[in-house]
Amino acid sequence: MNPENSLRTVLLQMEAVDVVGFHDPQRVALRNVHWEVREGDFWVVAGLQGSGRTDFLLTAAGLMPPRSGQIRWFGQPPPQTEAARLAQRRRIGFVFEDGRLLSDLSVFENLALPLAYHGEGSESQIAETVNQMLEHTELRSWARYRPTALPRSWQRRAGLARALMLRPQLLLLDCPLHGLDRRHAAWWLATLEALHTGQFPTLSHPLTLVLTAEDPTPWRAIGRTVAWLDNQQLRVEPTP
Amino acid sequence: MFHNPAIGLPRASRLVGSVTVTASENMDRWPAHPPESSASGAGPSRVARLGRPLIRAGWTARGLLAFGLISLGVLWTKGGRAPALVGRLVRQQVVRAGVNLLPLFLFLAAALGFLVIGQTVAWLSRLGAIEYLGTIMVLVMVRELGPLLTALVILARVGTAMVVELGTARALGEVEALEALGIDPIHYLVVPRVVGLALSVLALTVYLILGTILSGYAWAFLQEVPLSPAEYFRQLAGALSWLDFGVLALKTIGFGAVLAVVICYHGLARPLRLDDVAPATVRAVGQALVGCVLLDALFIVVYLVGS
Repeated sequence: MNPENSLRTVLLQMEAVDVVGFHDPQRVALRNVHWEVREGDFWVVAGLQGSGRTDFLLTAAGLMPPRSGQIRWFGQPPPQTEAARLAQRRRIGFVFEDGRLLSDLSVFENLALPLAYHGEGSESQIAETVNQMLEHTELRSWARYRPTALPRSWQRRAGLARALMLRPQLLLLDCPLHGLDRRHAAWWLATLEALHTGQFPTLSHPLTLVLTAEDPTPWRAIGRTVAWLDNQQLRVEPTP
Repeated sequence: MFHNPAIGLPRASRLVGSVTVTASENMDRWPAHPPESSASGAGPSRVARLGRPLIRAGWTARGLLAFGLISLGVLWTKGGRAPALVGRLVRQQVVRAGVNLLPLFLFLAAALGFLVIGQTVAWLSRLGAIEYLGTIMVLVMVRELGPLLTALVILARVGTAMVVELGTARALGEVEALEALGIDPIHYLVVPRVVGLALSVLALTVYLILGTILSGYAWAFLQEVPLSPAEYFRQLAGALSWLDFGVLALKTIGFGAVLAVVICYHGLARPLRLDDVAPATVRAVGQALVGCVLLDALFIVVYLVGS
């Protein structure tokens, strides 16, 4: 193990975790997963369709309970109080493959929702923060539209913008490049790199990233780790 | 795993089970149907044919009760969180299920006044019992027809749309999206509907009753019934008791809460696919109707005991 690694805080730790299918909780998608994400990591979890990519990510985000095993976030056992749970929840961002914006709200309202719910500033402060995010994600022209009026690539981008509103520490993304044209794909590659290195304009801190992909090739770079979901197992590629 | 209070908040989930679970986990725990018994070679016996729907109804009632308790728990524990946002959502529901339905209810009030008075005046005149006109109005409209009819019209006009809307949101994964943002889906989606529908049923019932009383007198006046407005309202006041006001408020709020809980349960409580939304809507309408009638029956018992 790289000695530098052991100095960085563990943000997410899975021990002997069995991941079940979201749509079929009786089906075990992955068995006996041992995995650790440290601060500053950039993980690419690759797998074919049906390999349990989304189930794995939902479980890692705490949105779906594992069948067995233990998951620790930020080195802490699962929080017992509501305040602790919320504090922990807000440190983890999740970007769904299809954006999953709330269909009865406009893009602007979708971005403002987490701030309004968690009481992050006055109405004008929230509007200013949202406008900044819309600007940096090139979504300004879509701000007043309902999600169904947006092309899927823009919906996903709005999903990223919404996930960033609470300034998470750990960001999980489900297949961010899936089905995108070259222009959008280039934007995602550049933006996630900026988020990882702390150069994204509205965020002052670098993010730890975990994303899934069918093909990890576009994501391969020095300092990034690739893992494969195959045959119900998580296998980490040796770092070159 | 996060003990996410979202849909199945920890405190409320303790009401149902002994463990704290995530929102989806808690919701998904309620099965749509009871487990089927193992199939034997012969067809189902008469007892089985009779028993299965009963068991299914029992399971549904259990799920609805648990969901209602969880919603109540969230209302109690998170009532003060995000007051501006939740307040706005409640107002939206009141506008949608209350204010927007006012013209329809004014029409219904006019029609009901004509209907009730028109039918009763003829009979009461024949029997020489016209002094009971106000009493009949109170019995029919205040105690029974007003609250129940209001609830059923709101169910038809708004409730069905709500099941479709919530079911679609569930099928499109919006519940998980809310959880991912640390937003409790029960707090965000269910609580405003429970409060909004309860207030709407109460307010519209009052409007319906007042409208029916006024249109009833107008109809009596047109029929040249020898009844002065003062006498008509004296009869009404004489027939009303404090119990009527109390029970009316409780009953309408109860109807609103029953409608909201059944609607939200069928729209949200279980994972749905888009093609499940239509059957869920049909089930929700039937069960909300039965729920309101059962609650109404409970209040009849209160009246019988109270009087």
